[in-house]
Amino acid sequence: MAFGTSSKVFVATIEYQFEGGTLNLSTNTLKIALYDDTTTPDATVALANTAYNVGQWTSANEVSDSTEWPATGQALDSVTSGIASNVYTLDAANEVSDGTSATLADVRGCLIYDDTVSDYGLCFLSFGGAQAVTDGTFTVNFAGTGILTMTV
Amino acid sequence: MIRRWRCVECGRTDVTNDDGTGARYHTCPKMRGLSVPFMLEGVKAKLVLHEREDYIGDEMVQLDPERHRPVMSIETVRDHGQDVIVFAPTARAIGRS
Repeated sequence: MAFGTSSKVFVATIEYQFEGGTLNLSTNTLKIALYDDTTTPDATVALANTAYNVGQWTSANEVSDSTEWPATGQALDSVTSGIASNVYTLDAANEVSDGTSATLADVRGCLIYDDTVSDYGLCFLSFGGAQAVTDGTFTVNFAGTGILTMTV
Repeated sequence: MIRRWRCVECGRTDVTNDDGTGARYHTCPKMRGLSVPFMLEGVKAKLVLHEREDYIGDEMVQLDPERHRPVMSIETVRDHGQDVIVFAPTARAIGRS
């Protein structure tokens, strides 16, 4: 099992939204949780299995620091959600661990999920390899193209 | 609280007057034009840029502005510990008609 190198949007979450789902990404609390290499993400799982602490996203696979990147993850700040030129984009400010003494090991990727509605997952991002900090600061720099995009 | 910063790669300096928390970043010409953290003056450190070594395919990874290579992270190695900035890719879905 491995986190792999792909970053995907959950298909079931898109379907849920199309069918009247209640993920208001502009106002809901979104979180980012970190995971190790025992996680095997799959973008095609059922909606329930996209959620935090379910299936592959079990807290047993999560990487956390007791105070500076706690289990269940960090809330995203300055979230933006909108469509321009037929492209939907979700974005947020870069996420930085709280404080300067976090210790995190073997971080392979993250789950972005809706903490307001059933912890449903939106997408997962692969970091491309093992990341770690010791007594330091862990920062996730989101791309200029956003956390997730959907082209229609 | 006045804090004095210095980039360990390019030597650029800066001064902030703030509450003493948080970090300071700048676009560093010695780190391929990426945004990297300053260090507080007097702190010994080095910055290490890691490229992604996996197969990228059509993944929307972040590229450095100078060489347009896929970057994975920048590690700040200090005497006691290290910091990391991870350059996360974008998750993409494409509708097909």
